[in-house]
Amino acid sequence: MNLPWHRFLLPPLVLSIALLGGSLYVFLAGSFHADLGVGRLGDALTFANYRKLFADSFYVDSLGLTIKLSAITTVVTLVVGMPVAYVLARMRSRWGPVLLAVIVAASFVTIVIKVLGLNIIFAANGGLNRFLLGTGLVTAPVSLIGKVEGVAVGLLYFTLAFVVVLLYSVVLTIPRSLEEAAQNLGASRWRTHWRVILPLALPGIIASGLIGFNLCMGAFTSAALIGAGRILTLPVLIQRTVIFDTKYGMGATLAVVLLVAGLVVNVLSIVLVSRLKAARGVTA
Amino acid sequence: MKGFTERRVNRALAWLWVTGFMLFLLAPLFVIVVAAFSEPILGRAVFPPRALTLRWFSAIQPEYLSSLGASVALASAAVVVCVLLGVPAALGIARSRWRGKAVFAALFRAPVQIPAVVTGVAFLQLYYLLGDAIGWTGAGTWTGLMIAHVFIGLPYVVGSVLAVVQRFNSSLEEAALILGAAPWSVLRRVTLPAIAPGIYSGATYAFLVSFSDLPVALFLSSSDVRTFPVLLFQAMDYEFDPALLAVATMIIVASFAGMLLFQKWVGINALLRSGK
Amino acid sequence: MLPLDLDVRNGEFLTLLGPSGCGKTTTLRMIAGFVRPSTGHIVVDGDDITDLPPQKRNMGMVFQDYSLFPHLTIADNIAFALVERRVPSAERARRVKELLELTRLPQIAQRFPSELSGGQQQRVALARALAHTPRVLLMDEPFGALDAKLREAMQEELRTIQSSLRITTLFVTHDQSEAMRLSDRIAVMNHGRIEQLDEPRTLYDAPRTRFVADFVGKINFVAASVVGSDSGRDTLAVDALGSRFMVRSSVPALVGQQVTLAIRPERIRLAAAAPAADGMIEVEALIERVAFLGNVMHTELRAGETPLVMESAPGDWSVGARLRVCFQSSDASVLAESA
Repeated sequence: MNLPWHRFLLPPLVLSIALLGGSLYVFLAGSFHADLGVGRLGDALTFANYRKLFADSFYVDSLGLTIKLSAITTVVTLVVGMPVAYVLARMRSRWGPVLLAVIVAASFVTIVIKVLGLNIIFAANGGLNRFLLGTGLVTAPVSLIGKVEGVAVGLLYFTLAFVVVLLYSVVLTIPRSLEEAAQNLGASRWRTHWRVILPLALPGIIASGLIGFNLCMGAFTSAALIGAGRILTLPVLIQRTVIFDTKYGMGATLAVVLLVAGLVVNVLSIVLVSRLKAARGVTA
Repeated sequence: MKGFTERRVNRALAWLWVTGFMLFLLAPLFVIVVAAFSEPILGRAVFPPRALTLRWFSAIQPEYLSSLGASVALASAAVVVCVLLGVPAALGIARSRWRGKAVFAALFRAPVQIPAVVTGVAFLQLYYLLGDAIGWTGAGTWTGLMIAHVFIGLPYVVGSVLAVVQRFNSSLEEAALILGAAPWSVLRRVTLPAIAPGIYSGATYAFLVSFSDLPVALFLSSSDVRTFPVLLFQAMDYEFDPALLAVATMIIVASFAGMLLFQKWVGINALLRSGK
Repeated sequence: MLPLDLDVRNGEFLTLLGPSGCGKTTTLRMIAGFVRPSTGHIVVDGDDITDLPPQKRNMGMVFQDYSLFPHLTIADNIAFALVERRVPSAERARRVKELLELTRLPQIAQRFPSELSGGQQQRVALARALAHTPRVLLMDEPFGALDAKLREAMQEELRTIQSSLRITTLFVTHDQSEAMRLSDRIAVMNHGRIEQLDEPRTLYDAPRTRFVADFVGKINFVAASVVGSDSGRDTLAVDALGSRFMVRSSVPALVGQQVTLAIRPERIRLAAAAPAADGMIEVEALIERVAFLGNVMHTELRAGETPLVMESAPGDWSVGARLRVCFQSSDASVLAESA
């Protein structure tokens, strides 16, 4: 059809490139300038920030912690979420779409509110703790605040609903008739899952996991609220460095490292997936 | 009868798992809604509640509501801009004959890959630079925040509309042409209505991204530019007013109601396909 | 596509017939304006429309998948072209009603395409294409998705509508019986060119090339060698099936050349039942397969090395028996390999 399609594309493209380029430039460039204190940057280009970052265990630990937390949360999300996604995708009753809609609606609600709810659940004099103390399962009230486990739970709430919805779509791409064929050939439910569904779903599962991982790497809110200044993941550290310490150079450096770390994990996983595909001769 | 009981056990397990999952997922939301109606103990919200009351709803400060309203207005404005930019962009990418189309599609998707914190920092710096260069202040203004929200919301609109356009049956357009409609008329009468589900689901995602965003708004807010998530965040860090529970309840209810409406008008399938 | 010339007469039903990939749909789309011809012109009623975009050509088109607008009601679908031409709504409503009657649809004006059956959608597509009284109707394999009985019914109705409206119609199909049933003339296409453009009867009785003979109806091909040619007249003397006789030929041939004779299966008959006549060629053959089809019997024979198919009234022979069959030499012809 004869319409000037390129002209449709141009304004949004220009704006996107401007904003994308602008933001990338700003923190790439910023990372190469020294912090002079009180929010000022030195004029010379230098690697000082990077050197400081990798030399100081404080920063390196934060990076390590962020990657570790994200990886653990992602694995838990996949393990917990895959059966749910499968059951919902294969459910024939009308409850399937309803439950899915509920999950999607839950993912609409901002994480700030969810953490608020978690705070109430784990309040020292709240029902959960009174129950646990009363039955002697714990000796002191259980709290999430300031603990790594707490941040992990927060990250879980951040990504769980979203990843389950992604996994749901993945399961839908596997025709039910394949499972029926497997069962007809003698495989039990479990064997069917193991030999048919998981291998076919694996690329999709890894892709969904990657998205979840990226979400966790960049997650600020749950870490900030639950970490309470004691658990410093990279996103939290970036915010503190920029807002509290006004060290824009270092903040930009941390941001670059965060991005690159995430990129590296993504690339490695994609390589892993294509190796897997080649090994099986699977056509996606 | 081994097969029969095996099936029974499997189904029970499956249901157990899903139920446990749903309880886990919804617990915090449920607790907030209940707490919003409960009598406080020593001034703090308690779960399970001792008594029910509506006082928190009447204790809602006007600044909470104005902040909530501002968040809604901001998100709406951002969505409008995203749609005005994103729909032509998606059509342009799908229909133009450039070889580098995949690059453009990736370009529009790129902001999703950047963590919100980083976007927040970058925009803050960018606005300072612009402020020095051309004297325009972006940081701490609604306009500046809106531009940042357009930045992070646009990929969802472009991705969603692109997915629908690529599945679109072009012979519908040919049918319209041969019936005498000029190309702009075809776009208006046939193409846009047909890709509407993609537009709606992309717009919904963009709205949510803007409304629930905290990191970007945190960097770009100021004392008079505060979205509701920022307000809530700061309240949770310092002094927490239980009336906020009431506002949170309103948001939760609105989210579920919105999902219901969306399901009725557009259908959840559109959302599923656009999430990528 | 190769260069082709096509002259369509006013008010006629002309079919482009051929296998997939022969260029029939491309030709149709060129006429509609969706494909630009690299050379040549398209002239309608004396107007050169080659450079006109589709929306200015005032044609109606029925697409293979109907392409009804899913978001519009049936009434809005049918009236689509009228809205573009700014026809007032009262007139539009009247016309929609008229067209629903013409295509024998019930009063479904307020329903949506997804609620209708395939056959009904088909009729709506036709009604929509006719609403603005176009000067040419284009149809791209419209009945392909219908089952056999429904297809026949639709073919009948189309013929009725077309002849009552007397609208010039260009129809594309790969189904030769459909083409034979509907058309005033048929253009048989192969590999981007028209092999023959004629009335159905002429195509059947006097095919000019092997392809046409084989595509339109069934045909037997028999090897023969030329023993004499009569240059100036279109006849050859050939040796085939153990006899020597004269046949018509569309191509010149030299003595000693190997050619192929074409004979229609229904022209082969039981020798015992046929009256003796000049030019009758008799052949003895072994019966390999017999299929009883109700009103005809389909017999596959082998005369020496040559397979022959005979279609005749049902008889009492069976596999393994030997049969004496015959045909008139005037029923055999030598055809060109291609146009």
